[in-house]
Amino acid sequence: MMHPAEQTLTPERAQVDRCLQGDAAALAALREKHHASLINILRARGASESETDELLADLWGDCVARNDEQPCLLEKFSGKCSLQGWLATVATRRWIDLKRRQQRRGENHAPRPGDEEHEPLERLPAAATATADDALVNLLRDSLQAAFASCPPADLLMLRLVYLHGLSQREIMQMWSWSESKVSRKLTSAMEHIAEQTLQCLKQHDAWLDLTWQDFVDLCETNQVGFL
Amino acid sequence: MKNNFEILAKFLEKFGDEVEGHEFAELTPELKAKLQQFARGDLPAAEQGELIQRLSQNPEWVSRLAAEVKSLRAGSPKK
Repeated sequence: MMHPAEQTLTPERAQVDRCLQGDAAALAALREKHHASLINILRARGASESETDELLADLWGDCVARNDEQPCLLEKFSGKCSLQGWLATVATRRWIDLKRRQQRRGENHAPRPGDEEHEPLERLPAAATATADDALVNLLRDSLQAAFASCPPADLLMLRLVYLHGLSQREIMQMWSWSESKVSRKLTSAMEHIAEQTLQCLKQHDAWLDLTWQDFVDLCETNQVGFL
Repeated sequence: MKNNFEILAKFLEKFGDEVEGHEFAELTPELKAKLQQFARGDLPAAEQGELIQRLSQNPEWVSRLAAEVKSLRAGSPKK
């Protein structure tokens, strides 16, 4: 029978809460449900098999409720996005942090995820929250800002009016004295331009990262709402 | 359900370079008149470019423009 406190929670949120309370079976079920998808997501984004294995071993290890000073990773889950999207974002952020460290030091001296003995500072919770300083957020932000900057101001204005302020395409058509089909084509091409420029900028910055446009949008959304 | 552009814009609002310290520029009567003209579809194409450029530098004015357009909808209270 469901605990009264869980009745207002989504099943996913309730399961996370059980994990936070130390329910090992709930955590095992969570892992069972999401592990294979996370492998696929990390591999599709460009992580190697060994990187994926180690990142996920660490990730699940950090989801274990503890009594010591290191908080359980799941405490940062806001419940405002899907748990799978959130876990994928955390794993991607950790992988990007790892690649950044590898780039800084050269591949031969790259630490392995879990190499606490040699790099204790890198085990601190940099990968548990979204801040304007973390590598993934910087990457998403810089690529997106570059794409927005390359978009003609009139196109950007049209996108803002329609998608942020709720104007209809008919109203835009009247403002610009265009046909409705021309407005529709312009909105589509402007979004395509942003997508293309964003992914191009990402690739220029980090050739090893393979994100689809939907990956990119999902990561933006999760970073914006998914973390406490 | 959010559209992609809204997700991206909100992301930049939260994490973008201009999240803090943006100074709100005053909307002059002349500019307000141009926004109203644009909203009605009466702003000549030759003047649209300059106004759009200024709007891109002062994104907070875009909501004023949107409000002007919405005020023209049937059933909207007269201004």
